[in-house]
Amino acid sequence: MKPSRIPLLTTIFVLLFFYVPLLLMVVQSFQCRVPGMDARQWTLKWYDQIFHDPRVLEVSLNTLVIGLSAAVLSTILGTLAALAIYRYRSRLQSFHAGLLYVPLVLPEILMGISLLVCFSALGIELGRGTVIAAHVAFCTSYVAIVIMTSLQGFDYTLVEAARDLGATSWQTNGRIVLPLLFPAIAAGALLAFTLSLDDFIVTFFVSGKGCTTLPVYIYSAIKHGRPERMCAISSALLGVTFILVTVSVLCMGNKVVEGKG
Amino acid sequence: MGFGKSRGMESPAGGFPHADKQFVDFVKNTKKGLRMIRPVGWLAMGLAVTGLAAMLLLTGCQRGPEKQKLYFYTWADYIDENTVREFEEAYHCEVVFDYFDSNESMLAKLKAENIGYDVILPTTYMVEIMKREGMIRPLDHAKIPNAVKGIDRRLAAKVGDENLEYSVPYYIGLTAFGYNAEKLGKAPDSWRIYENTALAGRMTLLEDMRAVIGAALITLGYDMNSVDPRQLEEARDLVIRWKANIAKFGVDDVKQGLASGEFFVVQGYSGDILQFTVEDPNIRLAIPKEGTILAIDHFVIPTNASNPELAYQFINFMCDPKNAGRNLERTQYLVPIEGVQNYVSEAMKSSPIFLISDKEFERAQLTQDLGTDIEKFSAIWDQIKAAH
Repeated sequence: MKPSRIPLLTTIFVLLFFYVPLLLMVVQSFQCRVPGMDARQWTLKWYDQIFHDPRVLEVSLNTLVIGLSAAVLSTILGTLAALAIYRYRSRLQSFHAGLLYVPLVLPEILMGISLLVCFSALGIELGRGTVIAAHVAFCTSYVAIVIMTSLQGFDYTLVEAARDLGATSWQTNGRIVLPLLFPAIAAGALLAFTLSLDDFIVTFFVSGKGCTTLPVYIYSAIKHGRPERMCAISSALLGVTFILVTVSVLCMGNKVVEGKG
Repeated sequence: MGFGKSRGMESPAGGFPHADKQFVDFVKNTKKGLRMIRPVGWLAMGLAVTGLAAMLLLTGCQRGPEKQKLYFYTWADYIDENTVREFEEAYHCEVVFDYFDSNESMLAKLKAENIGYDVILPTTYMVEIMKREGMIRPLDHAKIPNAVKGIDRRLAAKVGDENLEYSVPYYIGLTAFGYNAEKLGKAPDSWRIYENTALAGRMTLLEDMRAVIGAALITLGYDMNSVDPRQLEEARDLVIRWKANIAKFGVDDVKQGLASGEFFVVQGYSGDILQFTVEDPNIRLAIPKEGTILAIDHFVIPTNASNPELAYQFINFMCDPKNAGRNLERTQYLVPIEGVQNYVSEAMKSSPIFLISDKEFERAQLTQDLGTDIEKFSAIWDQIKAAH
């Protein structure tokens, strides 16, 4: 029987639908009009502009600091959460696992507003700290889920062997568990970083004075900024995200191979 | 600290996979349990300490003792950077920028949390709301002489704040036509151009209900803020007729379409259109004879500003004709300060925004806050969008 072409066509269509707009944006970011003519020419001037714009650099630095802090904190918390859920299969832990999924399904706007109300009620001054805390709140779930997935193929006999040979729990964790989980932890951390980098809604609500991030800046610049500049900033952001996700997938990929081997 | 033989995991065979039993053991035997959980506890504590330190460190750097700071809440890409730098040098301070993407989200955020921005740049109707809510303070005119001296009073009267009581109107934009002179030949002079079937598919309207229904109301000779149901219905029918001839409702992609020659006439904001006229002489701006819609962004000082003195200095500095000229040049929005035209480039002087006649200004209308009546506009807009 001749295999149907429909799945192939669907795939091609979906891929085009996903990636053509992105591609157009990137192309536009490298183009400008030839003055007085109906033509476009290649240029780097938008990139030159944004890399010399103190405001863009300011928000980029801010985004980076927030992203790194959120990634580090949520990776530690997420790893611990995943280990706890894996190790103690109690009702408490299945409740814990359930809670971890909440940020994945909760509408972002709800999370943003509730966090804002909460910080406001507690009298906490909004600033970078609150943005980091909010990012950690949703990134932790993603990190934990990535690591829990990796733990499903975890070869527990290695831990047993270490124990049998007299290793302490510190030694076992430090020399066996963490190295084995490292690819998943790295993947989780990169995922957390990208999530933090891209977040707009939650960030808008919980940010205070002087801690605007790149997505918030881009949204605001739609009103008065040049479209090409926005394309250039978005393309730069896309580039960073793309690289990180690729590295993250490569990390996980290695893990899958090891797990099978 | 369990560095001998860890007894927490006493039976390795009963480790992770049989954790249920272990959890029971853990509850039964607290001593053992404590030992088992100790590493986790240490980690958690270390984590808490790092987290706390990080937060203190990061929030701490917001209030450095060395320079005073001006917290400015505004739209991105909407001021001349050199002017800001000069202000920072002149007053030995640092301007910290934050951005909002709409007047509404700015209001929502400031209502929920007392952030303490020093200067905000909202649009006219939002200034009214903030004034009503007691969120902005009356201005001390002694501290903003440049604004008092320079601001065009006719304009201030138009925005209902003739005496600059609560705000300083600064950037003025208006809804206008952007058109391609090469393709069109003659400048569009009336909103009625949207009834011209010869241009079907080559024209666009803004994706902005107040601007579109407002244009229809103005064309019909009504007030753009009218909430009279009969007038709104007439406006709806007119827009539906226009809709048959336009390619789409849009903002950003439309500007690109105008530049590429895909569209001949677009309804747009003057600053946006003018950015393109600088690069392409074929793209021009025209103002409909029936009148158009003004959009003005105002400087205001919130009631809870953390540094109102510096805020006054900032507004005063920006109202200096030279600085206003540079902001005008950068954003392409008109700044209503006397003498501003002496400080813009020759190219800018011939810009259509300086050629807008007094009569055109008189005729232009201003979007006002409609309160709950805005729902009437939304209902009409939905009907327009649904119409074929």
